[in-house]
Amino acid sequence: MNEIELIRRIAATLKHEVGPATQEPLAKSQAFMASVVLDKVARQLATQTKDLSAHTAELYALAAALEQEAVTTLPAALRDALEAFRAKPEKSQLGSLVEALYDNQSTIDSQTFEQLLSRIRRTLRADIDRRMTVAG
Amino acid sequence: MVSVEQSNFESRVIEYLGQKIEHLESPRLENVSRIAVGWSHETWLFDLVFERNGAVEMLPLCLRRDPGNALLREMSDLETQFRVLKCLESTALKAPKAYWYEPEAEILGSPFLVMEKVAGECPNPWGKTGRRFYQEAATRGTLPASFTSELATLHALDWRAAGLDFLGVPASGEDFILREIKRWEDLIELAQHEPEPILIDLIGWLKTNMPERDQVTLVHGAYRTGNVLIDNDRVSAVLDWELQLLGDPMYDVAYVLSDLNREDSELLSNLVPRDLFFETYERESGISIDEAACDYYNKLYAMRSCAFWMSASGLYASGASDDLRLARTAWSVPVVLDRAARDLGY
Repeated sequence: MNEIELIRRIAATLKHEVGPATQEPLAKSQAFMASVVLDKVARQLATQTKDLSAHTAELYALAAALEQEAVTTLPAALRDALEAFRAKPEKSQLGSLVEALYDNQSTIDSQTFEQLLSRIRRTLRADIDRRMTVAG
Repeated sequence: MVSVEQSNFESRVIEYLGQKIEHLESPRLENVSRIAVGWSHETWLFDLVFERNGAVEMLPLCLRRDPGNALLREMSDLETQFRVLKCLESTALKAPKAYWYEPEAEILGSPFLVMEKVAGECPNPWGKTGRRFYQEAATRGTLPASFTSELATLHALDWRAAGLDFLGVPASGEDFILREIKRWEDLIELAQHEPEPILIDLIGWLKTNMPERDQVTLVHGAYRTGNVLIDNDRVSAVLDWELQLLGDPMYDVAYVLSDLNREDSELLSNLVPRDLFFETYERESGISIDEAACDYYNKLYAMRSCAFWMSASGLYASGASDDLRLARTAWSVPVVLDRAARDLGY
């Protein structure tokens, strides 16, 4: 039995045996909730490696795509955020890039803003779609 | 977290009430129950039974206590709730009377307030039984009208005359929205959740697309079924005074219109037909519903939901709470992020 199967078995025991046999309302609801949480953990563990590598690949693809943008015309703060993301394509750097994009919105032309944002959003959509397979 | 056993609770509350109510003879608490639902302050209901001048009297009471790890405790303290309820006593709004606020920790281990236990029930709109309750009430028609009228009353009341300006009066324009975004940004920061680029995108959009809003009323901040008490098919009290503020009434209207509070139902807040809500609210409040402003606030609610779930899951992650409902909310964060992305068009 691997760890995912073990967690699923424990979740099932909590749901079908411990929860129904528990009388005290708060303890009963906690038993059922423990089953829900463990089921989510099992589902997340089952896809974690695949999801993480897909997300990393998308972040690198985004970094490469943004390299094609005409960055020389961007304000320094935005350019720095872009460079930082390209140097380290991670979620936290992407967050800083989105923040810098909005902070500098008034100083860049709307087409560039939309172009950068829509490319970033494609990556964000792919990530949230994956996360929703567990969360939804 | 500061817990209190029921036996200790009863003896300490009786002692406390003995100091607050004159000529309290042979006091005892009956029908003591702690409400199991709700994620914020601990809520106890009981009847104080005592003798006065030879006659037996009963005072139905509700006690809210700060357990030290409540959700949203950074945004709403019991003293503010107490002050708001006191101010509302002079208005036409149905709300519980506030009796006492105790700031010291000596009696129950943490601050608490005591207020009137209003008659009525508060079915959970997320459960099967609650949904059926509201659907049946919708077909009768009385409760949907009462629910809408109470919101109109809330927005029409004279908040200055009631003394509610201590909540902070926003300047005209974007001030109300800026304050509200800041309030939830602060909660996100406190939650110490990893940065979520979709949420950063949403906040960026909210800050660059703020509508100009000038009207200032009392705003409940979470007006929906589940936060109002119902008796005899009518609202008997508006509850959950935790997120109230002064500002744009459309903020509450947007919450009623939002699909956040009705799952798959066409009925607003699982209760009110949309046309009835528009017609009744506009007639009784004298305020026109601005749907564009409501659309904006709907996105702000997506931010608020993210902040709420981040804070909730953070309480469990940090060890501040052992409530597994909070652990589960870690998976509610992606759900609201998905919604936020859709709201932004992707």
